Amino acid sequence: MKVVKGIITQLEFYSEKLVGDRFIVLVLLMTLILSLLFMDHSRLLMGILYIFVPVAILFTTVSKSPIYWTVFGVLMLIGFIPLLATADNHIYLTVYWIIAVALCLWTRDQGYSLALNARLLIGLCFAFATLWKLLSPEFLNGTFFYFTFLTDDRFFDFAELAAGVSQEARLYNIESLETLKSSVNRIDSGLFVSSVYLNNIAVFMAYWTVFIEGWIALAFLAPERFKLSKSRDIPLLIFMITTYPIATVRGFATLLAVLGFAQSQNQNRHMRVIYVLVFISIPLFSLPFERILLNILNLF
Amino acid sequence: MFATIDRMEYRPIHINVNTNEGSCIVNPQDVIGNQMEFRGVQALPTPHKLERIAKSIFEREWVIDTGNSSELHCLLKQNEGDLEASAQSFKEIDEVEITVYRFNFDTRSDSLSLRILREHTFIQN
Repeated sequence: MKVVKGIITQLEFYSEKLVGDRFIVLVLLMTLILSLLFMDHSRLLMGILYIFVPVAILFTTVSKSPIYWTVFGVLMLIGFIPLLATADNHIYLTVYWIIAVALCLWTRDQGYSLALNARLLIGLCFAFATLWKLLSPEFLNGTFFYFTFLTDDRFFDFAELAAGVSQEARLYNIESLETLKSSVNRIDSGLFVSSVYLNNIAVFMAYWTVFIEGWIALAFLAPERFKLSKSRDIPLLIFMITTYPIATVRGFATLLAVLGFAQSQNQNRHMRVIYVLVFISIPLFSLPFERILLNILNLF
Repeated sequence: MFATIDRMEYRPIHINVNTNEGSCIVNPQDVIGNQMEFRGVQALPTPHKLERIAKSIFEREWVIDTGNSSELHCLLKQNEGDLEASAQSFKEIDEVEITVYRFNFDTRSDSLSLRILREHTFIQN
């Protein structure tokens, strides 16, 4: 109990330091680091990022300038247009966020504007994600997760740990997938090797995902006076901690940590240190937790 | 994304060319310039993009590879001397059939199959 109290006191102590100008500078710095690490999807974007971002990271006067962010936002938008059809969804969201930052810096209460935009972006992103999942029969009946566990290398260890999908099955499935993916083969169907437990796990995961993403959407879009809105950091942090160690999409995890931190300006100030800690710890999400656990289990 | 098994990279593009010498398979990578353009066709296979691919096939010279494979493949015609012994020239292309598929997975039978997403046949003018 004493330890928990001590941690909360420490969180509150550091949270109180992250207010006003410091809070804004840290939001901007985290956004710049996010852009530099995860937005280099074309030569044009790389050029923009490598020229623009280091200068702003080194000089606070540059990073706080609305003119800098406006130019940076416009250039990122131009660099992003050729990727419209092919970019991952979190690349879209990052570009929206950069543009939002540029606009917020022109307002009188920059901290409030950043927080409001971050909250809306999280809320809308998860609302559309939930809607899309609810409208996809393939998702609700578990097919999406079932297929993903069998074919997506990010989930192989989880499928082995949770459902006992063997490594031999994994190799066989990859071969079947590659044959069908090929544009020069004319084979139009293939069989996969699975496990008897996988379907139940896939259906559970589908409903869990709809539940947690729906909760985030409601909590972030609910007006501040609603009770649901007060505890909005809880579902977001649960989502990040339960999702990204398995599905290692570090770009999205980092973006959510930035947005989570930015929206913490207006309430739940003690949570902001947790978002900073998550932001710093995201490289650890790449550790193969399931593989480590499997190796430990194999010892017995 | 992250709601259906349909992903860009899981959309094979099948191109079949019908010639006066028979039919053969064209590798889309031979006609679609770069990876980004290829991904663009997979993501959004509009009739306009497919027509551009067909045009590019009609404009180039091809030969049929009559080699070991059970299926005949069209190869881009390089210099005469570079042609393999198994390659057979053809005079003209009658039709180009382009089909973009998506995956369909049945969890009861654990089988993956292709479902047509977009299909077009282009005839030589």
